[in-house]
Amino acid sequence: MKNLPKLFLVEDDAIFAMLMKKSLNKIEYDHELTTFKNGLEILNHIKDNLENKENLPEIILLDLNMPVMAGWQFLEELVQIHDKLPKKPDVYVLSSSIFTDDIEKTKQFEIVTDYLVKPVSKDKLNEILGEFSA
Amino acid sequence: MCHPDDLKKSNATFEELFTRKIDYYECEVRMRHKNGTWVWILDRGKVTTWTEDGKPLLVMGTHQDITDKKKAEDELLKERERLNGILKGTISGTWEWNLKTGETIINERWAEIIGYTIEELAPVSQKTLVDHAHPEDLKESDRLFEEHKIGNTEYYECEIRMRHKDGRWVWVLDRGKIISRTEDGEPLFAMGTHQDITERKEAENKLANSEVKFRELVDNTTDIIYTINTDGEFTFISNAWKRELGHERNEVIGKSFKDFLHPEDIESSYSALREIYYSGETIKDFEYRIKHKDGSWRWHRSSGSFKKDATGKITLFDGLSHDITQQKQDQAEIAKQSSLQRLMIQLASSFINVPIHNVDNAINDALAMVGKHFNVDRSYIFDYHWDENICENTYEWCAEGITPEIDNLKELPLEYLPYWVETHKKGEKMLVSNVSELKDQEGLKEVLEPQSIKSLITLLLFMENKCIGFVGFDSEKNYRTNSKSEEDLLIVFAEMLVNITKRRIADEELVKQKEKAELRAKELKEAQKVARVANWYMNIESDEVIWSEELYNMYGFDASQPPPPYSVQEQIYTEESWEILTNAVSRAAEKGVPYEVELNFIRADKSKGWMWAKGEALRDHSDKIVGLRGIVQDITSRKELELELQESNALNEIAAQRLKVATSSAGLGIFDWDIAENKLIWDERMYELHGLSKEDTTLSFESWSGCVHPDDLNRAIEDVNKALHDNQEFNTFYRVLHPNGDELYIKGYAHVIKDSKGTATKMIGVNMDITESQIHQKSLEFKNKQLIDFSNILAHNLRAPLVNIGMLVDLIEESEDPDETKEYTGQLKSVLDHLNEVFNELMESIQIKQDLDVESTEIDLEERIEKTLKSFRSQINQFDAKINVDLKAAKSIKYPSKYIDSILNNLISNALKYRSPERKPEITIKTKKINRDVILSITDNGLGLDMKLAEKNLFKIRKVFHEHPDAKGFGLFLIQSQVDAMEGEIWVESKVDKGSTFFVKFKNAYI
Repeated sequence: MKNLPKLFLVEDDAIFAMLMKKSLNKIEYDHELTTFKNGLEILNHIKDNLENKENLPEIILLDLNMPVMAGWQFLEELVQIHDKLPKKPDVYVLSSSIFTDDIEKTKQFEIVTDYLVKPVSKDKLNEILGEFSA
Repeated sequence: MCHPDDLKKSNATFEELFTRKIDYYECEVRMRHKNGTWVWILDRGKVTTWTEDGKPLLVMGTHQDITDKKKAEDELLKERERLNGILKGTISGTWEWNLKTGETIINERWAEIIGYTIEELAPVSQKTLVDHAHPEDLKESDRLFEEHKIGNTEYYECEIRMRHKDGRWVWVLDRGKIISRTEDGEPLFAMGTHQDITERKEAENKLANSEVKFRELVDNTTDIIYTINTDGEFTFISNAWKRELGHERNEVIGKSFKDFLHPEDIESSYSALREIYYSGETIKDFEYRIKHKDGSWRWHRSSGSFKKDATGKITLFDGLSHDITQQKQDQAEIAKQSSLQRLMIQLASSFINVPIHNVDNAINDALAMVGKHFNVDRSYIFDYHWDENICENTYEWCAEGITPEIDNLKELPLEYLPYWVETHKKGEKMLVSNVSELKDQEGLKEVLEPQSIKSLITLLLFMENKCIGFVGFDSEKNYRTNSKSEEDLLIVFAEMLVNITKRRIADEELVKQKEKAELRAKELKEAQKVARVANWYMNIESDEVIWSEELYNMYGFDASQPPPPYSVQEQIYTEESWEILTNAVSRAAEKGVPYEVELNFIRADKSKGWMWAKGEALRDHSDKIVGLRGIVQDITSRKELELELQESNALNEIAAQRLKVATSSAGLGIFDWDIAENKLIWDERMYELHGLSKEDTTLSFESWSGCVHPDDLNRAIEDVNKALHDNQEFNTFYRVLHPNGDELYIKGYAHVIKDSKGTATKMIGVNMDITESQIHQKSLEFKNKQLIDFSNILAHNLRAPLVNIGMLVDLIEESEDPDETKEYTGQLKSVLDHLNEVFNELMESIQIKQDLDVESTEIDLEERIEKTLKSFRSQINQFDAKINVDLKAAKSIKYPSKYIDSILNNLISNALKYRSPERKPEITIKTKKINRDVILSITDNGLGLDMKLAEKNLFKIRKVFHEHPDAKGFGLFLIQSQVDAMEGEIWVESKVDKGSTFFVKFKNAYI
């Protein structure tokens, strides 16, 4: 498990963020999980590190319902700067919503790899991480 | 009875008849009319019977009055004379003299010859001539004119001296002719010319003088005496040789006569010598050019005789010669002068009356004539185009062996020859007698020399004081200078060229106008054809009919056949029209009543058409009606349109009836708007729908637009415009505010009627009340929106804590560490608290949605605001917030009190909660009234919102935009629900770090 990808979690719910960390530990993800509390925080981080490839993630897990900048708005902003990214991350929407409107809307964003409904099983997490390293 | 002048002629004719035994004669004679005037008679006769000895016995003949013809001939002659006068006018002065009245007319040139203008000589009479002529010459002139008067001379001609204004005498050749006489033969009218011949006279005088000089020379033995031997060599020359020809004696003795002779004169001189030799006498002189020591040629005239020796053998020729150069030159000058005059006449006559298409030829001929006369190598005309800054060679004549240049001299820029153009601009002629002697005048020499031009002269062509070009003459072979008279001729020639150009322009203009007139006539003819107008004539008696070609076209008949007579025309009209026509025709034929009818006619191919026919009676001189004539116009297409319209009107009537029944049962209102007149007609139902009194009978577009809800007006008017101009279907809806406060939703459909040009003239349509269905639809929309909101809340806000709980429970189950389990259980509790909070909020908002019909009461806004502010007193004090309240526009409203408290509470709470840490909070609460709505605004100077981020989700549940510990995203969601329930609106304007203003519209809340 040496070559696991760098993973960013965007989540305002502290409890869920803690639970995610536990889940990743269980599948022996030994990188430190970077957590952002809303879309604006991660957007600023990405914009600040456009020149520093090593500070950018391979995978983003994105919650939709967040204060200040929600998931959808972040996706719109990310589309704007996507061309400038030296490394294109796999973006997964990670939401509690099972509302079809949300799932449909996600499909409109080409930069989103998949829509994941909370909670995410260990198998699914393994698949995501493994798919990347493969 | 015969005119005495013609009697002789007549007698002679008869004489001939007798002597020459001809049997036919013809003679024009004047005979005295009864009224005393002379009439011209053409007398023609034929011998019908002869005597036995061959004498005519009986002559039969006719007299024909040819006075008119004679008069015309006279007119023609007079005109020709006048023309002749004009011809000479270009170079000569002219005069016309009425001998009866003494009235005299002279032209400008007449006066100019003696240095005056006509005005200066006025009043002109025969005395004008007498006053200026030399008395001696006048006597001779009178004598010569008398001779002409009595018919001894055909012309009067006299050379007279006239006193010039500047005092000198001018020689004038006065020529004239009596051109008409009174009936009794007295001279009536004379015309003539004055020609300045001073120069010629002076030349003649000079010649006379030189001959005198010659005599003196002879007397002073300036003659050269010389002797030539049989070999043609000089053996003796007298001293006079050196004086006359400059050579020393030893330069001449022993040389041949030939060596001194001009090559062209050797042949003639030797043949003269041979003649003298053979005749053995001293016969006539011979002339030759002989070389002067200075290289020039001198004209000499010699005479002499051959000497014989004792044996009778010819040994020597003794000669005597003298210089006649001056004499020769004078003679040449005279020859030149008369040849100039001839040339002038030739030029004038070639230009006068030249047909316009021959002008080019005439100009080319004239250039050749003048060029040959002056023995130049090239004559040419240039046109100046000042506006284009170019000039070009338009005509050219070249002597034999000279290369034409005309094609190389097109569109020459004027900068090319600045000195040349400047000279011409000043109106001066350009005269260069020797190009090689030119100073470097602005490059003129450089231009002329390569063309091997030795001399040139150019003269300006002036038209209306503007220089239009120049005429020029180049010499390549010889250097030449021009005498004053030659230059004068060239000036006249230039004037002639301008005149002919003027005439050409005038003639071309005339041709153009003629063409225009012809075109117009053709257009008129075409127009008649297009208008399908025709005319006809009918002879009542003979039943004969004449048609114009267009009428054949209308009926589709063969135009080469005669038209059918009126009596059988029945077949070419419908029964009805034939009756109309026959009635009209008989009234016109019998009583002369003109008619105008429309007829349905049948064409040759059996198709039918319509015509408008107008007819009137034609009367003979005794006022009897003899025929009818008229015009006809094909109006088929108009008539068809009319009929179609009538038909459709009838259909419309029925349709209108049906519609009335239909609309009244469906509760539809009908309107009819005349757009051009802006007149609106409503049926009863329309008045009801729009809440207007039926007394308002004069309606317009504005009456309607005044009823429309202001919020819908722009859209409704736009829909009207689209229907009128963009061909779009009119299908709109709008609200109408009735005076009683009711609001009706009206749906409108309409049809737009357009004229042939596509301009909308009328709008006819229906309106119906859709208020009920609209309210129903609104509530449906509202409920649907609520459903979506709920789905969102369930998906995100309720499911999220449930996910957390599930995961925590899993962890607790899996965990074997009691500390860890304890930690998870604590977290489980906080998740449950959160879940509970969300649940309660949800219940609260559901509550709003359930009591849609919450009761509105009159609310004192001021009192409510005060109460709310009181509950925030501790915060207001703590932050030292300033609160402004301005309720001037609306103090109290009609609204559910529960909602007002909630709105005020949430908005004031937000304003305080999201205050800026850098400023003391300032909150302004205001009302505004628009129509019957009240708008409440709450403005703060707090953190503000990034509208780009907040716009969409601001009023949604659980959406927060600040990282504030108290931000829950419920307050705005709640008041949005409350405002929605009352059909109001809530919106925000904000700038980050400046502050926000929340607006709430209370619909229909104004009291």
